[in-house]
Amino acid sequence: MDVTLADQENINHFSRLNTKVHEINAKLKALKAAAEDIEEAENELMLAEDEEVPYLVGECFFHLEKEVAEARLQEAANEGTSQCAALSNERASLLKQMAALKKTLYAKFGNAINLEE
Amino acid sequence: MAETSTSGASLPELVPKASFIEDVSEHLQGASVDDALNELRGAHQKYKYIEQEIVQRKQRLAFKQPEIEKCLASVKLLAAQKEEGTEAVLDFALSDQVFAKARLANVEAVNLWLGAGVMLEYSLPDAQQLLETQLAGCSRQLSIVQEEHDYIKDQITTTEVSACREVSMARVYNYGVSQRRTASA
Repeated sequence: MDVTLADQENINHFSRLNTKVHEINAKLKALKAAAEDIEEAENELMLAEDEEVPYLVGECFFHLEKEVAEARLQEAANEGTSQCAALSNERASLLKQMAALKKTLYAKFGNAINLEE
Repeated sequence: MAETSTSGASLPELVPKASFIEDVSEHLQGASVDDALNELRGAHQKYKYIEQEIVQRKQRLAFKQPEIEKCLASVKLLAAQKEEGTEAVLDFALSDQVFAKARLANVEAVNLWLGAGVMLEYSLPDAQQLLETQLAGCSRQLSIVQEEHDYIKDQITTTEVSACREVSMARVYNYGVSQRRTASA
């Protein structure tokens, strides 16, 4: 059983997709952590009695009215959710392509090839 | 700030593709397996070295992007507060952990650090525009680097698979030799 050029291209493609999935996983993890931070900040703001709160923008804490700060947090949360959704979609499509390649390659090479992680 | 990609030429022009070995036994004909494997190993090492460089460039860009986004967010907030006519009140970092309170009224311009010891004053709209251009440039660079990574990754995988095939072919060959030896003994 020999490897043809088409097989080699399939293997290369699979390896590329695998790298991308790993990168997306890392990004999703970071986004999730950020989302948790935002949620925590939102909860804190809800309890806060102050009219103004220091809000970190860039390197400085701007003193913003509570409502303004809440709106900014909401915006950041929405942005995070949509990024998360986009990445999850991309990941799903990559995984689908990988599953198809796995099927083809395992059908030909059986145990002689290992395509996990 | 601007980072040039490998001197204008695209990576496939600079780095030769790993050639696919159609027929391993033919490829090994006349050459020793060790030499063939060493050749592959050398190529693999070179590709890996290039990949490392690419990954570093990617990381640098991925680090730069949020930095620019932070600058942009500050400039935008200053512009919005100016629009509303509110005075910006903020705690700014004097040193790492020391903050002082400042009031900024009628902010017209900001100074942007351009790197290499140069800082320039920009009006708020100009600063915003410059930062947005930088941000767009950054993500463009990132997609170029991504393509380069894909390319080099292909070459690495091809060399790895070729090495496996040569090794397994060599095993079959050795097996044949030992078979013949036992037969003739």
